[in-house]
Amino acid sequence: MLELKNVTKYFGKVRAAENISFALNKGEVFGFIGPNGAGKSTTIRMIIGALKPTHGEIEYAGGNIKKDKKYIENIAYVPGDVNLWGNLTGEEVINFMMKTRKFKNTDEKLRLIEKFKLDGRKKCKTYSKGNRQKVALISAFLSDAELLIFDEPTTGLDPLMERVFHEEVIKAKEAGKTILLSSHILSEVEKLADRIAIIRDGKIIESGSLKELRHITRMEYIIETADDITALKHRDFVHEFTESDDGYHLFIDNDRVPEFLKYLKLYNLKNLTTAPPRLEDIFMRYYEGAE
Amino acid sequence: MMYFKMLMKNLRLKSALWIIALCGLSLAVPPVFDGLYSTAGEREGMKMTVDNAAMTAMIGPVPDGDYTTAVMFGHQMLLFMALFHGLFSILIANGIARKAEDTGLTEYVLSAGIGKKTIVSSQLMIGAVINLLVFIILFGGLSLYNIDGLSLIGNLYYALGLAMFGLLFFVMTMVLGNLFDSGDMTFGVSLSLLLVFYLYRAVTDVADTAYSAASPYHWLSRIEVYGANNGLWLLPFIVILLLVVLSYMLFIKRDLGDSYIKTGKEKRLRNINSYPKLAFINMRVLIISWLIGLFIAGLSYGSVFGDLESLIGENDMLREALGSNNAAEFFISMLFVISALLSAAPALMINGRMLAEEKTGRLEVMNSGTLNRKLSRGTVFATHYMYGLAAAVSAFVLTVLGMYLASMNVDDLSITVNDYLLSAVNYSAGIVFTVGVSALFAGISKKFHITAWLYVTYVFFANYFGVLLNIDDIYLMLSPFHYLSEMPHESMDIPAVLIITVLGFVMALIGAAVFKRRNLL
Repeated sequence: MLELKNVTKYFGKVRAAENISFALNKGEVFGFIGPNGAGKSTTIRMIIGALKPTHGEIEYAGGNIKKDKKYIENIAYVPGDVNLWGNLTGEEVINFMMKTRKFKNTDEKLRLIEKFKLDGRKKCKTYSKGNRQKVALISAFLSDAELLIFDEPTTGLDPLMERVFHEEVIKAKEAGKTILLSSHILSEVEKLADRIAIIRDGKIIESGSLKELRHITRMEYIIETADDITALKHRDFVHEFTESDDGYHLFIDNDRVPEFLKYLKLYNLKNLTTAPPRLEDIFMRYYEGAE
Repeated sequence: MMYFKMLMKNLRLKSALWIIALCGLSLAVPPVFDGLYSTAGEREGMKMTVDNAAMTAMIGPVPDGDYTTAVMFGHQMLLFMALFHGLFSILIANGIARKAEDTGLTEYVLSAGIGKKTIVSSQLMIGAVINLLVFIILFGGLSLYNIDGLSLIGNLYYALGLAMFGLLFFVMTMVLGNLFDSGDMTFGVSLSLLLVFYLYRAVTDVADTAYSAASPYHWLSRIEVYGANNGLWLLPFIVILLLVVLSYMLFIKRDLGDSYIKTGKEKRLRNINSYPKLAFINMRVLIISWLIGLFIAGLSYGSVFGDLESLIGENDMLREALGSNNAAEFFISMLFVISALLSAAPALMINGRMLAEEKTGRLEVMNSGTLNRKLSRGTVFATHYMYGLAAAVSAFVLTVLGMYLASMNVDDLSITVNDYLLSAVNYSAGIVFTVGVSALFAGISKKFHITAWLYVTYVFFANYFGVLLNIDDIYLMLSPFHYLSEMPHESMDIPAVLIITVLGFVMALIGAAVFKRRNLL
């Protein structure tokens, strides 16, 4: 439903985004990941029309967004840094957004305010970052928009609220909405996204379904054992082998895990834990591959 | 004591800046007056100028006796300064009392084992210390001057009067903080009282000063500092003691976070269903204060119209600059231009608010997901432009109205109501043009909009000095007022009015078109 074709944005000489191409299918959650300053927000702001691409086309539902400005009515957007009007209460802001969207489901509003545990009676200037984010998230869910765009939505939320947000994203997806979720936290995107694109220095370096991208992620294993397992160090699927107080730390290529497990059977293990892949590991892996 | 020290430490920079600014303002004036009005004749002239209804409403009744430099200083400064000292005390008192309670700071203090009695007495002590400093600096500073009439006793009453006045409003705000349930509400009510007392005495000072005694400002007037020095009029300030006891009791007897009058918690939700409504709520204080401010400016301009001839007559440079023109009418037309430019200032601020919406990213959030016909970049631009233009033109009309009202009883002025009305229309064309410049530049970018401020400042000075120094017309080419006729002493140039107005609208339209298409910040 949304397609970016070789979209490029220069700010003077700075190339904030270069030849960005990807497409969102209706009803999917699309993860957009990359470190801070990689060009995520620039790309998103081009999609919502705040910035005009230097080159390239953006199409929404088959039409070029330059031609039909009304496409924006179908997109709800939550920025990474939410600013609200200090003299309005949180609920007044939510009501205002509902009114300008002609969205009338007040039961849903009450449900979300309750679920996000927002005190909507307070003035926005007294809100913390997390509370401002809640107001913006609730407003975005309260719309008939087909596409929801979240730019680093969970940075100010506590873990409980993060989970509430994830539940609401899944709920929106079940209701048939499409979601573009930008984040620098890989685990969050992994949990929710059907497909992802990885952006760095303004360029998309990988995209596809998570399964397809398995080959670029490595899982960290922490092994406690009385045996000496240093022999593993020399296998080509083992990386960054280190020894510390809580055991051996090693990274294993995801596509070679069965092989690795076969070797592990040779030892008596006391404990085996895994740590999910982190974004920086992906980049490290990616650059190793590129060299 | 620990809590008191903490409060002091927290406030020292803020209060130091305020005290320096306030006392500096008071202390800067006596030498200026001394230089400006060096002869008794000039001072008598000044006394005549302020001895009319409009000026009495603004600065209080003229004291009996000689109008010496010192008396002039006391008479013209005391009430104005009281207003500012009151504001300062209200801000500080509300900040450390009700506002700190709102944000939960007071609860921390309480949980640290500091008792409620200590809390309230420390807060009261802050008010005493701050106003004591005000007293010391004012009294000490004034006593350093060697100006005729600045007597020690007068200095004492001037400094004491302002310090007492500040303390009164400090304690009053503390009491109100117990009655109302939020810092915003407390500030609103305290500030309203400060202004209402001022306006009340403005009315009664003109009508009958006997009624003015209900206003604390009038107590200061009645002391007649440097003149009669009626120290007895400091006695009403004893009411401070009553308020101290009251705020102490009210605070001790209630729970933290509670209040005696409940309004806030069940605040009705405002139904903000469109951008114009939202923008109005966000900007109403800005708009209304400009309207009031310029109306008062108009009153004060108007009140000197009667003396224009004599003021100008005494000044050789002005006499020469004016040539054979009727001085009063000439000056009035310059005042019209200056007022028109001042009236345009709120419009520039209102357009600036639109750029703030852009910069904070709220604009793009508002735009996405909302119906285009209800909220688009175009809607936002048009809203700010319309509000700006309406505020600017209304402010100008109010200024002109103020001039008219204050100069009604000036006999030898040959300007009729009709002249005022037509002049308002004439110069409003210049306002439309100036607001158009602002809209065009705001449409281009936030940075570019600074140029609009430079433009207004330039036109202001060009017109100002244009009259005084007879500068070349070339410097006035950029000013829309240069092409409009100089009403009231010339008749209206209708084509010029139309062309300037249309140009203003065209610039706004171009600004809107650019704004709709450009990259946001």
